Order: sequence, then C-alpha cells, then structure tokens
Amino acid sequence: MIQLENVSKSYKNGVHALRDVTLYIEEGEFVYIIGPTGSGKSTLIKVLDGEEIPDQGNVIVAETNVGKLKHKKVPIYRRNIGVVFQDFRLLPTLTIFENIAFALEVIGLDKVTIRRRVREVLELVSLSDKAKSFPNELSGGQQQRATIGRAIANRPKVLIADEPTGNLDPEMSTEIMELLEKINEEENTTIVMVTHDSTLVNKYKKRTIALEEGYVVADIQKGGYLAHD
Amino acid sequence: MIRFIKSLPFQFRFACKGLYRHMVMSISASSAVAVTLVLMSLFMILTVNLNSFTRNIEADFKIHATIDTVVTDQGIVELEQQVKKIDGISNVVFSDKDAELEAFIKERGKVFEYHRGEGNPMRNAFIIEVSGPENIPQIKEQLEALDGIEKAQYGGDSIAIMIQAFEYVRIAGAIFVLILSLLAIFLISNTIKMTIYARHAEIAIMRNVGATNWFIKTPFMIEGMFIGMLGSIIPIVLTYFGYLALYRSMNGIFLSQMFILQPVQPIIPIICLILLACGVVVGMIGSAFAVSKYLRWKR
Repeated sequence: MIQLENVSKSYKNGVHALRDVTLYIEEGEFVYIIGPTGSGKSTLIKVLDGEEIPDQGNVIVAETNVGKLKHKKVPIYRRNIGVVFQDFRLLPTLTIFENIAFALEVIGLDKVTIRRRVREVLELVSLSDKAKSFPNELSGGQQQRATIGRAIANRPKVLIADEPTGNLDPEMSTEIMELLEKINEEENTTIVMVTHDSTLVNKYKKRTIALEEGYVVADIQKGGYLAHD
Repeated sequence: MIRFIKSLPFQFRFACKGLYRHMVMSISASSAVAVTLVLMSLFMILTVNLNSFTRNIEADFKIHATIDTVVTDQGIVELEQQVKKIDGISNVVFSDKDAELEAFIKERGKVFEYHRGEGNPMRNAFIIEVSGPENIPQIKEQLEALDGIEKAQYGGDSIAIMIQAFEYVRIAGAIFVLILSLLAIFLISNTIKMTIYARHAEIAIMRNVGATNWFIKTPFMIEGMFIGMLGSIIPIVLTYFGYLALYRSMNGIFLSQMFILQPVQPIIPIICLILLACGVVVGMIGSAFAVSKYLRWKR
C-alpha cells in the first residue's frame, strides 16, 4: 500500500530531513512512526500526502507516485488518503456535521449520499449527539474525533495521523487510540500514526518504525517504544 | 461540467459567507473598483461626445469649388461627372452664381445687394462634401487640376487640426481606460490577496480534504464578481444622473452650437452596462489571479 524507496529530502536551509529511507507498509497495517523532534517524522508525512516532493527516490501510495504528481492532481490524490493533524484544522464557522460533509462536498457527491455517510461517520466516531455543535464547543478529544471522522469520510485507503494525541491528556488519547484501532479493523484502513507518546506505543503494541536524524534506525514488528539513551 | 453546475449552489453560499465575514476588505476592494470605474466612465462619456463633435464638424466640412466663367452649361454637367469620380467625395451640389451671391449677401451683409442682376461678380460653383477630413488637401489639389475649376477652397487648416486633436484625445482616453482597468485588476487582486491571507488556513484545509484548484477558486471568483458589482453601483448612479443633469442644464449643447451633446438615450444605459460588465469581469480576474498565486506556492 505504501512504498518508499531510497527517499531523501533536504530543505533549502541545509537540513537533511530524510536520508535514504526505504519502507514498505502493507494494506490494513497499523504502523507507528516514532522519533525525537527533528528526526524527520513530519517530513515523512509531508512526503506521503504530497505536500513536499522528495529530492530522490520514489514515494508510492495506493499505486500513485506521489512525488511525480502535478500540482493540480495533488488534491485528487488526497481523496485516497485521510490526514489527521495535531491541531485539528476544523473550519470554525461550520458545525461538526458540516465540517465532515465539507470533505464530501468538495469531491462532488450528491446531498443524499453525503448526509447518509456523515451520519455513519458520526456514529463511528461517537459524535452523533454533537452534530450541530461548532468546533469551539467541543473538547479537544471530541474535536480530534471529528477530524478523524472528516479524514475517513470518503473511505480513504490510507489514514495518516500526525501526532493525533499530541494535544490531548492521557484519557482522551486512549479514546482516540481505540477509535483508530476500530477504524483499522472495521474499514481495513491502513494507518500510519506519528507519535512520541511512549505510553501509547507500549500499551497498544503495533509495528513501530523509529526515525533519527532522517534515518530509519529501527523497524520492529512486535512493537514497543525504543529506549533511547 | 455537470459536477461544476451541481456544486454552484454550494460555491455561491460559500462566497456569500466570505463576502459577509470579510466585510471591511470587501468594501475597500469595491471602493477601489468604484474609483476606477468613475474615471473610466468620465473618459467613456468624453470619448463618445468627442466622436459626435467630430462627426458634426466633419459634416460641415465642405469644399467650395468655383467654375471658370468660360465653361458652358453642358461643360458644367460634364465637369460634375469628373468631380464625382474623385475618391473621398460623398456629395456634389451645383450652386449657380445667383445662389452664390445670395449666400454671400447673407454672410457679409446687405451692402452687396447692388451686385444683383447683370453685374453679378460671383462664379458658378460646386459645393462638395467629403467623407473624411484627412484627404481634404489632396482632393483640393485634384479639383484644381481639373479643367474648368477656377479655385477650390475649404474651411482652413485650423479645423483639420482640431479634428486631429480630438483624435489624439480619443486615443489617449482609450489608453487611459486600459491602464485604469489594469490598475483596478491589480488593486482588486491585492485586496483579495489580503482576504485570502486571512483565510489561508481554510484554503489549506480545502486542499487537504481533496478540493481541486478550480473548486477552491470558484467561490473567490464569485466573491470577486460581487465586489465588482458592488463597486460599479456608485459609478453607474453617478454616470446616469450626473449626465442627465448636465444634459438638461446645458440644453443638449456644450458651450456652442458646434458641440452637440449625445442624448442620454441610448448611450448612457450602454455605458452603465459596460461599467457593470467591467466591474464584474475585473473583479473576477483580480480574484482569480490572487487565488492562483496563493495556490501555486501552497502544494
């Protein structure tokens, strides 16, 4: 499903964010990307969702060569992947229902389909009772669930989550993790989750890929957080 | 395409929301449009009226060609045929020496009345209308080259110079209007750029959830059209009522009988429509520029 071959990326200021990264992630997998700040986690996500173009190597997601996409094709590619951000990025003027519907409106679905799907999604992320609320009326955990709902609304094959629990307390983090697991199992969505929350990684053991200074330093199938010195 | 039409109600609602939420920006952008359109309208009115002034003057533009006394009546008919063959001549009227004298008396006064009768010193003449002022000197020379034409005269160089000057003003006006439109596009795209800056998070989210570029652009373009429309209201009102007032107070002429103002109908409604169209188009292009620019540096 996700294939990175010898991917390198450096920025104009000379920072080497990714160095020769090669990764294969199968369909339906749930993978953690861990690593300290500046290890290239965010760049990895940007390369995956087409925000950055790798200097070298190929990034292939769902049979699309992401780095070779033309500017106007990027949004169309993004319909196949859902991205969850640490800072939620909900539209403040729209209700939760409208926020999720928005992701379906932009791809031109008809109203009936949109309504049906939004209800389904709200059910899945347990926000049915908050459909008419605005983002600022919800707790952080609820907002994050709404973003996840928006990300999965058009049934993406891949869900990329950039520190989805970064702004949340442990209790809410658990809530989110359980939701992601549910999505992974029920919709067979491939999930790539970037995190530096060691308790989560240890509690919900998944395949874990560790990055450091742009290199992949570990790829552990059985999971668990790496002890750094 | 079907998808595009289907999404229009959504786009429309989105644009209205944007317009409302960024009220101050919208107002400042539409006043930029308004100022430009007012100037544009002034120049259009000036140009239209100069056109009609020129046409009026041109209509008065006649060559007076006197005929040698030796030419017989038969010769005059033949001569008229020859004159009509010259390029650029629209009409030839024969005026005999009595008519010429009457015209002269009318112009210069009754002192010359004693010339009436046998002692009439005037010559038979052709009054020749030309189609344009440009080739008058050549036509004059061609006429004088004809056998039987004594002398060909016209109103003089000053009128030709004036017509030429009008022509320059017209061209300058057109260029000015063009520059103004470019300026308006620039102003609008700058203002919209600011509103976009305030909304870049929104655009980023739209791209993130898979909105194509045209989908993002459309509401902004609709918004730009609204801004243009709003901006054209004041100029249209000013143009219509301003011109109406001017026309009425001047009784349809400007300073002298030579400058006859264009009547309000149908020219002013047409100018108003042009202003509206300019506002809408300029607003649309301006916002399209601004969004495209933003979209290009955001992947």
